[in-house]
Parts: sequence; C-alpha cells; structure tokens
Amino acid sequence: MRTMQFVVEPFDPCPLAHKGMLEGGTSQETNLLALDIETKILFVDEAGETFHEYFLPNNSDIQNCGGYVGKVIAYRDQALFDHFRAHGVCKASLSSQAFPLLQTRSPQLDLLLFELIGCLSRCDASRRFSLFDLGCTVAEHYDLLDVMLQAGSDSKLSASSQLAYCGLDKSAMLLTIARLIHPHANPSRFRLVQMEGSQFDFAEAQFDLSLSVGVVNHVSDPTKALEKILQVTRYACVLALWVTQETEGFWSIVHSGFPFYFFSKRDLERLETLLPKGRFWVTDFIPESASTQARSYIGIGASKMSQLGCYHLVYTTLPSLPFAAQRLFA
Amino acid sequence: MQKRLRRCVGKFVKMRGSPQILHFMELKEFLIEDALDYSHLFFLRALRMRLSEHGLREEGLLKWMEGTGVRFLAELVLEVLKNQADREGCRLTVTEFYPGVGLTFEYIKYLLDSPTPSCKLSVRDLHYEGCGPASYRLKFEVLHQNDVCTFRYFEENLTGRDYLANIFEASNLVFFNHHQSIRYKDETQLTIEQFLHGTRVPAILAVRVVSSENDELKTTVKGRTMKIPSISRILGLCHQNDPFWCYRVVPSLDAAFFLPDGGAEINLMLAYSLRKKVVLPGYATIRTQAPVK
Repeated sequence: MRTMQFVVEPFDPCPLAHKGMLEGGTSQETNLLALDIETKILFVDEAGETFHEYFLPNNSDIQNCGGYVGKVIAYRDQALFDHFRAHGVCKASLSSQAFPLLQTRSPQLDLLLFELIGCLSRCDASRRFSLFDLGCTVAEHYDLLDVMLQAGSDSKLSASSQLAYCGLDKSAMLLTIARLIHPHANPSRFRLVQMEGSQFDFAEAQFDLSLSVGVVNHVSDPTKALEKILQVTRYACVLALWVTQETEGFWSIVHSGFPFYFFSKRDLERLETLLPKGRFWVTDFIPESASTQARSYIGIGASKMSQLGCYHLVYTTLPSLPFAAQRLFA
Repeated sequence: MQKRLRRCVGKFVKMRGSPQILHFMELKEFLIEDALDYSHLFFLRALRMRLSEHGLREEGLLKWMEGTGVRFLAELVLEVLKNQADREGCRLTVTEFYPGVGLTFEYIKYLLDSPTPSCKLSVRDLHYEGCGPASYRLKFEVLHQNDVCTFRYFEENLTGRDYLANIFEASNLVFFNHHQSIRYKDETQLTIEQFLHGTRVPAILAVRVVSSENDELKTTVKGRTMKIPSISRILGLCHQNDPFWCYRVVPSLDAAFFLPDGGAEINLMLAYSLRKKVVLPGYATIRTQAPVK
C-alpha cells in the first residue's frame, strides 16, 4: 500500500538577526519598498530545496478574521457567562486557566472599559454611554462587553441597553462580517462606519468612551489619528499603543507589507501638552519580546526589537480611575 | 522509502524580484483554518443577504472556495432533496457527518434562498443536524444561531449500535463528508464502512479516493497520515448497500493538500443513493460490483 513515508520536523526559514535588514532607513525609503508576500505551508528537503508548497490566501483581513470571529464565538459560550457569574468580572477572573483567551490583550482592555462604564453609571444609572471603537474589525469588543455587563448585573444590563456603539474600520470585509454576526443589533445603537482610521471627523467630545487596540499605529497619519480620537472622547480613551523606548518614534513595516509607526514617549508628551484637559495613565506595559504575535515587523533585528513594547493606556479627563494605574508623565 | 522534510507555516516576505527571504512570520495553523472557513461562510451569507460591497469577493478567497468543493456538495444535496420534497411545506431533516463549521449547510441555505429557486423547498423546510468533534460544536452553533433554519450539532459518540441506527431513522437524508473530515486533527469515530453498512435512507458520500486498485497511505500538509480508499473499493461498498448508487469524480480537487509521494492521484468522489433509480445529470450508475478488499 505505501509508496513513501515522511518524517517531518518544523524549521524557521528566516531566523531573526541581531540587526534587521531595514534598520537605519528613513521613513521615505521604507515606504518605497516593493515586496512580494506569500502565505503558505512550505516543505523543504534535506538539501534545502522546496519539496512542496500549499498556498493560502494572502489577504490579511481574511487571515485575521480567524482570531476576531473566534473571539466572538468564544465570548458567546455560555460557559464564559457562567464563569463571570461565579467569579465576578474582574482581573482575577480574567486570569483563569479555564479561559486562556481572557489573558490576552483585548479582554484586559475591555475590562478597563467595563470598569469605566460602571464608574460612570454610578453617577447616572439610567444613562446610555456612547463608545467609539477605532479599528473595530468584527466588533468583538462589543460582544465581550455584552457578556461582562450581563454577568455583572444578573442579566439586568447588556451592551444593547447600556451602549451606543460606533465601530469604525477600513475593511469592508470585516465590517460585513460584523454586520452579519450581529444581525439583531439595533442600527440606531450599533453603527458601523467604513473609513480609513485617520480620516474620521466627529465632533469634539462626541463619545463618552473610546477604544483603539493598536490601530493608530498603522493608519496613514498616526499622530493625527491619536490626537483626534482623544479629542472626540469626553471621559476616557482606552488604548493599546505600540511604542519604542528610543527618543524618537519611527516607521517600520508589518508582515502584511503596510507601514507601522512606533510612538515615542516624547510623541505622547507633546500630545498631553497639546490636549491639557486629560492625562495619560498606564495600566500595563508588555515588551515586544513577550508578545503572542512575535516577529510581526519586517527587517527589524533583535536589538531594536528589545526597545519595543505595547502600553495599555487610558487617556482621561476624569480626576481618578476605578482601577490601578500610574501617570505616564508626572 | 522514507523521506525527511522540514516544514513551516506562515508569511514569507521578499523584496520584489529577489529570491532571498527578507522576513518570515509564523502563523498559527488553527487560526488560518478557522479564518478561511469563516471567510467562506460569511461570503455565502453576504450573497444570501444580498449585501453589495461586502468586500469578500477577494481573488485568493474565491480560488480557495472553489478548491473546497463545497459548491459541488451543496448542489448535490439540493438535487437529492428536490427529489424527496413531493409536496410544499414538507420538512426535511438532513444529517451531515463531519460538517466542519457548516459550510455545506450555509451553501444549501444560500441555494434555497436564491432569487429563482428551482424547487418547492424553502430554508424554513429544512432541519439540519451536524455530527462531529466536540471542538466544532460551539463554532457551528454560534455561526448558525439567529437564522430561520433550525439545526442541531451533536458530538460524535458512537457507542452502542443503536445510536447510529437512531440517527439514520430520524433523517430524510444522511451525508458523510469524508472530504471535510480529513482536515480534522484526529481521526473520526465513524468510518465510511460503518456509514454504508448502516444507512438505509437516502444518502450522500463525499470521499477523497485514489485512482489505484488498492487503498494508499497519504500524508496531508497538516502532517496527518491516513488511508485514502480506492475508488473501486468504495464503489463496491456502495453497491453492497444498494444497487441505486450513482457517482461522479471531480479530478484533482485540492490535490496539493497531500504531499507528492509518487503514488496514485487523489480525486474527490461524490456519490448518492435515493433508494430508487434516479440518475442526476453528470452522474453515472455503478454498473458492476467491484471486488471488496
């Protein structure tokens, strides 16, 4: 029956070097690169020659939707609701080994939003809060907030009762999926907008709360986009922001071939000076070396990579926060 | 003969025109598999909901979807159902073994909801049951919730010989999706042989087969080694089940899913039996009983 038996072991076709091939280039130079990107399963033989390739669609939105839709599916698991009901909606319950997904970045940020909503509700229990989700993909944050609100209130509250949600994304595909996976959401309280992430034009303080998980890093004008999201937010903006410890921010390229800007602390300090109504608070910092999506950036070596990380930040006009946080700037 | 290979999965970035890999980012395989399934399902749903500008008409995805063969399966299921729906408003139960996230189910809904339906059935007339691994239950349920078509997903647990008999008895059409099951991490509990041995209701098979006389061991790009049955053996088993089976072969569909080993070509075989003589266009009867190995 058998013609050939295969013994297969994993390998890394391009190990990370100490210094990356694209380090030291100016923004203009990196923006002029033409890249060929393939997504595939690659098999090489003992001589290092390609034995077989199995190609997969290259589109980043398609590739990423596995994770985004996967989150919505996980959030709609009754077992998760039961877990929150039993253990409360808090940092400790997000650390449970029963639900490893809760330990990832997005749920940690959603918890901050949940606590902010709770804090603001204590001042006005009947109010609905507007939430702007910049880079909303399939609106998975809405689903986790829904579970948190329901579990935290004995099902008296929900995302549809507490929130007026506005999600913005540049991807028609992901917004279509968001629409299809929330077929019964009331369009007057669940709005989806297709637009590039730095082109939105909302009124100052139009939204009570806002959220952006890394999106401002890879829009066409990151500093402008960050300034704008802070301006359109009345109380608090929850952010995952990728930064460098170096003095100046810089442009890199992500694995999908698009530019990505790493903010410096100096960038953020300038912004805090420009918008004095609020302050940046830090709830966490995760170095890039500890990231679950390693090697997302092309041409950056290990040395520069060690300078990179992600701040979990809250920019707020509130005098205090309902969770532990430290001022980014004294 | 043994061959040693090294393997990686992810995004390969090169400067245009250069053979040198500039960057490699590993991708988690289970996420890619899910991503492709979800994108495919939502593409079908966007068509069904008549959404324009849905952004899912992407070249790579369209090519991928053709390679899954879901269109062939769904069209066959619909043709078989059309032959069973002898009056309007009759409700039919379809049970699919190893439906994955329910792509065939979604495609059938799309066909039933199309602007010019070619049969009396509507989506509301269909009750769909999916049977498969526990790991797919939540995905199936969430992706198909809030829809007009009723469904149930039950985890395969084929202990007791009456379990299978009860499933067959409760269904108007049973469907063994071997083509999907080869993508699972683990072997399935139900075999094609058990399926064909047990079913007496209208049935469909979607099986990857080899063109040789004997079964062959093949290795997939996901690293699973499995026995792929010979087409002649499967046809023999079908004929033993009843003489009305018909079949067609889709040559080399997604052939690259298996590592090249110098062995026989792998094709997709679609077969059905309505328990009476009905030969659909493009299908052939099994004229002679093939030797069963």
